Amino acid sequence: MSSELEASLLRATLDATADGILAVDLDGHVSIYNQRFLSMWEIPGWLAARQQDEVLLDFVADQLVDPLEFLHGVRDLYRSERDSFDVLHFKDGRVFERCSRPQWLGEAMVGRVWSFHDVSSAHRMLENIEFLSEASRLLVSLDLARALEGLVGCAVPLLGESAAADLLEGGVARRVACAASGTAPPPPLLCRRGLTTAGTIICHHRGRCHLEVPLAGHGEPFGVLSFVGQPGRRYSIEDREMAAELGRRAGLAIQNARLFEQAREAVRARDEILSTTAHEIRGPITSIRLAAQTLLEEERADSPRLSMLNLIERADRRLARFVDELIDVSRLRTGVMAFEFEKVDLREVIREVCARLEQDLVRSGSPLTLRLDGDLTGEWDRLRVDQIVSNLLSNAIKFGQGRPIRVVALPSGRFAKLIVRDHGCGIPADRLEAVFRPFERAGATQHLGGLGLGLYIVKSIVLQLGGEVRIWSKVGLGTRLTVCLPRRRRT
Amino acid sequence: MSGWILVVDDDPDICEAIEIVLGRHGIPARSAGDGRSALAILGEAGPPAAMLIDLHMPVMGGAELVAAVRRDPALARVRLIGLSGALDTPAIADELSLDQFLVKPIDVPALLAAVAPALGEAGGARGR
Repeated sequence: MSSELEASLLRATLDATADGILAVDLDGHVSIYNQRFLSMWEIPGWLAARQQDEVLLDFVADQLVDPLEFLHGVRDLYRSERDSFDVLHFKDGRVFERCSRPQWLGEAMVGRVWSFHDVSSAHRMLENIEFLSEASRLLVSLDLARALEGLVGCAVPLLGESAAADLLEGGVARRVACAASGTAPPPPLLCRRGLTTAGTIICHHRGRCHLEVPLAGHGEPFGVLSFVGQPGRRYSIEDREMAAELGRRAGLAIQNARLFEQAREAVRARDEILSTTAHEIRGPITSIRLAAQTLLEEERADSPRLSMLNLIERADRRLARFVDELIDVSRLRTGVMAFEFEKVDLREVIREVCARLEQDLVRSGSPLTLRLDGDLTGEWDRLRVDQIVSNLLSNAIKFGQGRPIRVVALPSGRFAKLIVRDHGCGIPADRLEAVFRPFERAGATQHLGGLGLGLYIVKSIVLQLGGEVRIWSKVGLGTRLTVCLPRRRRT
Repeated sequence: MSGWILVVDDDPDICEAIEIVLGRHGIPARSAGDGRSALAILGEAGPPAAMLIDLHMPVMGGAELVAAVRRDPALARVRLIGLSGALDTPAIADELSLDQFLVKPIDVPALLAAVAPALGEAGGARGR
């Protein structure tokens, strides 16, 4: 190949590459460079034409974040025979990857060839992604002030020299968080006019570029994120988009935190009302019960007042159960149900419940048969097991239509099995799942008293004890409920 | 007066009902509407066999009263039975040094069973 052809090929190759290329000999004389090198480093052609590396270094060093380190690095490389790869950071945010290797002529090193690759946009994108994901991570916190403090903290210096979050509360602007690098002035308090417009606002104030984005959830804006740019910084479309995205994420997070706070407050208020209500109702229920029981003890079996006193006691128990259910459902909904485990004999509990509900049974006309087989002791909460048996038996009495009721309990492996079977109206197949939901009742057309919480509570207790509930039912044939309770406490 | 019961509840109906029930079973009882009045009665009448204490009362609450009784060596043998109908009280009761805790509504057998240990052990040690 002729040397003319070689030179032309080299020239064409250099001009075709997207990287800046520079070759310097050991005397500091620039042997070759391409146009891309000049444009990347903003070097005027006349300066490059002098072909002196020291001149070029003097010209460009100030563009870098750390000029001295840069110059030292270059000089060290000229003295060495190694290849190099590093990343250069510029004051204006540009980022170059720099490669260099010695130029050899036979065994002798005669110079060094440098190449520069502009990775600013990739770097910025990565920084933005990291920033947004960090911001999202911070915003997950329900501690709003701290989340916003962290958010504006990591926005400096990426989005400006200072940043602030202001919220409008009751018509008054309040600064919730602020961050600034060095002595940079903070953004003015909520300068966005009226907070009515959506989108970003850019304005100039005392020689600085200010950027503001609204904080809004699903409605009207309720605050502002504002940034003050570094001296000479002009906000790009990218900057604006990122700030707007940040505003959107922060807005939603603030709204969520507020909704969560409101919900928590509502739950607290409800529990307080429930607790007070329960206490207030249980007082008179106690007085009525003690009075009725005392009178019952003294009544002769044939007394005409006996049935009236029984009625008072029954009504009292119904009221008490109503309050219990109300409290239980509140606890189940908030996930707090405490158990007190002890050794409990299921047969004993069943007999107690049957005795307690005897009057109801007699009035319903349903004959009851009990079959209690084998050892039925387990590690349970006595009151909760009582509640399971009571609810199942009450339902059988309520829906049993006066036909026979059968209660069977038997050990089954690690479990104790309880079956309550009535021969009443039964439940349509499409309503079977619904009976375990709160405030549902299979025979919804009739008013049968209570809140319709019985089976919901049974299922919740059984599940929390690590057991299971099964239901079988056929319209006209009746219902069978089977509860299996593990006899040993779950650890 | 030995072997008597002090009922402390801000609901006068409950106090009256419990006094009547206990009275009919031969157990003398007195009542107070709050912790402070209860302490006044204790100061005047000496230690009862047991106290039934509502844990939700004005002026001086149940928890304070329990603490005050437990601090007094003269009342060391008094059986303390907590009473409440509120939602959070089982948790509160756990933290108090009560001998027993009953959730309202209570019935006659439960009431008699709760005070029986105090009356059965005449001057004996309280089983805790």
